Amino acid sequence: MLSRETIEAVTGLKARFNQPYSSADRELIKELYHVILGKTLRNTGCQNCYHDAVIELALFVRNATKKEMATLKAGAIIACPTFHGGQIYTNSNLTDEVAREYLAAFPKRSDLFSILPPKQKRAKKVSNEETKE
Amino acid sequence: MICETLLSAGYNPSCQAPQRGFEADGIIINRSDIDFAASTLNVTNGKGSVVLKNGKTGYPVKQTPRNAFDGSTMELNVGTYVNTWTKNINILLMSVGPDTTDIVNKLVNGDTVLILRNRTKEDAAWPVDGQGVNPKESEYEVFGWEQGLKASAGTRTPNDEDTMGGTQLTLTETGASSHGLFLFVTDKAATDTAYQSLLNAN
Repeated sequence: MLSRETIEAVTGLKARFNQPYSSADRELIKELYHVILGKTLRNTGCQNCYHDAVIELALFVRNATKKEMATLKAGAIIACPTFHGGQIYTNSNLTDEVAREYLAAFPKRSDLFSILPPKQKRAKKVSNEETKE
Repeated sequence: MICETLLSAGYNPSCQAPQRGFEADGIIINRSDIDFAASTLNVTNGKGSVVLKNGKTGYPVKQTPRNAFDGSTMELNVGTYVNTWTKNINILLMSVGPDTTDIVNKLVNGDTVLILRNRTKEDAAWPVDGQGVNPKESEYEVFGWEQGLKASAGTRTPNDEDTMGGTQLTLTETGASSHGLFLFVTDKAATDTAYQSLLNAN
């Protein structure tokens, strides 16, 4: 699974697509290419090889993240003394599982989320089957 | 409006010398981007969270560290029936050009909320910890939460050495019922995180 930092790094590179990439950007592209695609980006001296690599990375990320993740609105965090011992959750460490757990405990605080966690389909199916029985 | 006017606590000054003024950075937010229903900050509590609407973000405001937001004032207006505060925040934009002009034009005609960081981090007026100090609740002060900040003055002096020919703007909130409102979530660490998360659109 891609981390949020990785996704943001690719998104940032794609946003600067119309500009020449700096040497730091090029190093980042090489690293991401290796981490995400498991391939080594060879500098063949072509003019657009880094830009082509960014397109490849962006397409991969888009396909991999089609399923939306639970996301908090700007300014919203989860920091409740009675939830997970007061651990602070932001978008960088929030998982769908934690979000579901939080919303189960505090259903009224769904207003903190810009994207709600996807429902657990498998859990629903099981409960439906149990009901049938 | 402040409806409760009876004191419920005394005042006990902090032994630590308060630091005057603001830190050099803050966050400015379009008032229309704030999700007031999801935010817990209000006049009654005096402190709480600031949450933005879907996809909206705050923007950083940086000043030179020496006397950041210099000349900002809060003044009491005595009315016949209700007293209110006028809060003036001075911002110096020490640059000239199309990008700066675009920002100035939007600030001049906009309605904003500004979160500034007080250099004083501790509050002595609400002694809840038994020692006369309510720690770390004073840092993030919110201006414009009640009535919005609107431009009330602006000066650009191209030959001025002190401002490097930049533009000084005054953003004013009039009719604020509360002397101060503060961004605060659970504790200092959570509040720092919440403040930073205002800069990420989600």
